[in-house]
Amino acid sequence: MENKLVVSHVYKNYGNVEAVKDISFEVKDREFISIVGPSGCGKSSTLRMIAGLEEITEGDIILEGNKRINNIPARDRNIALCFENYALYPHLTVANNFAFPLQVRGFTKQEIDKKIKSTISLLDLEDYKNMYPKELGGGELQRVALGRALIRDASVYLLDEALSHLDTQTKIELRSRLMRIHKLNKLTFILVTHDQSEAVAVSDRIIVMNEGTIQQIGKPEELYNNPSNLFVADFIGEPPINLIEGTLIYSKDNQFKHRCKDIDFYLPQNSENNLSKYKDQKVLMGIRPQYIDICDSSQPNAIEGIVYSYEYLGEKGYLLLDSKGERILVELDHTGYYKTNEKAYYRFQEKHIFLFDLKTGKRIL
Amino acid sequence: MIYNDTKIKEKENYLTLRNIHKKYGNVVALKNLNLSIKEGEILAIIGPSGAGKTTILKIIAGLEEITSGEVVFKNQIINDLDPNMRKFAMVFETYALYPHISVYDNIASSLSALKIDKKIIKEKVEDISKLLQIFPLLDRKPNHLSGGQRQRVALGRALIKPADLYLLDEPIAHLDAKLRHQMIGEFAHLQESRKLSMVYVTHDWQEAITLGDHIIVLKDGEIVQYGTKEEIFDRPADNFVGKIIGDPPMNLIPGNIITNLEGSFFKIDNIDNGKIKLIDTLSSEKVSMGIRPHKIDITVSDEDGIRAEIYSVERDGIDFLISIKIADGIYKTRFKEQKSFKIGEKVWVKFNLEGACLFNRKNKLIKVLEGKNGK
Repeated sequence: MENKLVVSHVYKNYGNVEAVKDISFEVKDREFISIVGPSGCGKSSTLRMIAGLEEITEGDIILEGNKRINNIPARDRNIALCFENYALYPHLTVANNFAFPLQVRGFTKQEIDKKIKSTISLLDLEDYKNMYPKELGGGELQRVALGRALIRDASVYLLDEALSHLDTQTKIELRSRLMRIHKLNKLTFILVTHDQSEAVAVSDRIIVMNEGTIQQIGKPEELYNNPSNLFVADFIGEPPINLIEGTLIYSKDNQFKHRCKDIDFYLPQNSENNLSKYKDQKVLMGIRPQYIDICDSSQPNAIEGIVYSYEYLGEKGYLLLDSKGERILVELDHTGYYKTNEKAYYRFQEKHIFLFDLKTGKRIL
Repeated sequence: MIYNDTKIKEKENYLTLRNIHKKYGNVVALKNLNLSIKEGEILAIIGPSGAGKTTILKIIAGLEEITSGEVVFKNQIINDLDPNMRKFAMVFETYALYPHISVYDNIASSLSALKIDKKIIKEKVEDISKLLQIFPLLDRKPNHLSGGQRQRVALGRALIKPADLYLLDEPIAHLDAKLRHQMIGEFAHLQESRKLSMVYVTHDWQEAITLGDHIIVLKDGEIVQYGTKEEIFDRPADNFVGKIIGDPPMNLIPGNIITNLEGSFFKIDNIDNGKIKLIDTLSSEKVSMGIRPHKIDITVSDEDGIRAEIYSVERDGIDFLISIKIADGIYKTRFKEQKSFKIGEKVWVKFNLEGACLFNRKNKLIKVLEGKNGK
């Protein structure tokens, strides 16, 4: 697949503040890509530079393979934008809000009517087309804002926190709709969001940003199961990954172990090559709640815990266990009866254990 | 002996609201509401905004007059008791902290009138602030805190105060997803040892069924269901309860029960082959079937199943949520493993009817199906 958009060694400075530091990525044709990170990570600056709302301090942004757009004004970039605060014209009806961006671009009335009709049916807005923004609820406003972006034939559609302010029900409904529009109309979407679960839900690939730099680019399952560093491991996933500080021990039976307060967590057998240089050093172990199994005390490598709390959620549950002061959260795909202060045994699925360098956060296993 | 009897009675009826009506002008906010809280339990109240949840809390606190009805606390009608005379601690969604004093002093302020030793106050403030993960913020002033931090300060201030009843209105609604999860765990643990009597108002079903010993589902000022977490999840009183509990919530499929010589079937509306055999014999009527997302399986080859179309495919963490379209309805299914379906693809679905709920024309639960139902 060809690249629709290339961001190459881009920087953004605001005075002395470096908001974006040397980021590079490609967006493929028909891809749904998300940029996700905490507030202040540089994701909005990145989006604004792509849209042309913000100057690029250094680096290039290339559209459609060969068009360097650094100096092209926003309105001539052929990039459509959907803002988080809707930014609709309050004095225009829904249909006229749709018409406006086309009128200024010189479309004929016939073309405009045809496009409005198809956009209204795409987003199910038939009942609202003659209403004004102030008469609409949040879900409808967001659909209108999306429609105003989608009515254009743009190379790339930028969606800035497009689902963030909706209630859960509306958000889930609009999310499916957005994914359908993306796939069925073969569009290229870039979604900027602070909500990792939303990015995971909709994206083909995700760009994780922190402190102005890209931490990792990957498919959702890669970020889950193969994070490149501690930040990604911790930022992606809900409930969050368990992180346990301890010392890396190489025992007499030729086995690496992660020792934390006299508890030995066994590490996968074949991992010694990468780990030797961390021997006897402090490291951080990470394991996702989904990859811990409750087991019998007789099972090899079973670890004892005390039930701290139990969260029943009907078809699944969360068990928070305490092992010598370390809290371990376990996701259960069954529901049972667990009483506070009772014993329970658990074991980690070996291939899902991560180790991180304590200082740099780099992943070492 | 008599003393003991009273004690037991009190435990059963710690706080009771009896036939409560509340009107604001012509608008009816609460209709003939009856509820009771046992001592040492959390009663969670869940419902959409505008259902009347906060009004109930305000009535219990004495901050809102009742149009008619009685509030009974420990067998005494307290309708006319001044709010300051009720030993209830409250946290409302809009947290009124003192802006000019530190977080520490804000939390300690609720103990200041009690003539407690300063050392003990310090211990208590530190304990609760560690639990709520605001310990490093004790020296700050409220206007230097985020919304979620302020909310936890307000919660801390309420929880260290000895009170007969704690009234919490969306106490952790402003926290991000990760912190909220931790807070729910801490809260559940705290309650195991402290056994506070509490009314906990939330719009979040996970908070409600995790923390509530009993749960009330409220809609338009009326109680739709009162029950334990298992009852609310497994036996929703009507389809409204089914729709607000679960993520994604219960699918509701419109159809009919058709009973003939071969037995009873559930026939899905507006589709040719949508007929599913039931083991129970039920009377023919118009129903909707409530079925949870993980009870629907999708295949590409099974011609015994129900015809469906893939509507959308998304992820839920490491799980997959696939929406399917049957006739005009869109329903959600959940899978642990990746399925490579394309939008628009024609598939077959099978229902595991164990636990499926049948609701009648008035949306009331008429039957929870047992195992071995379905083809």
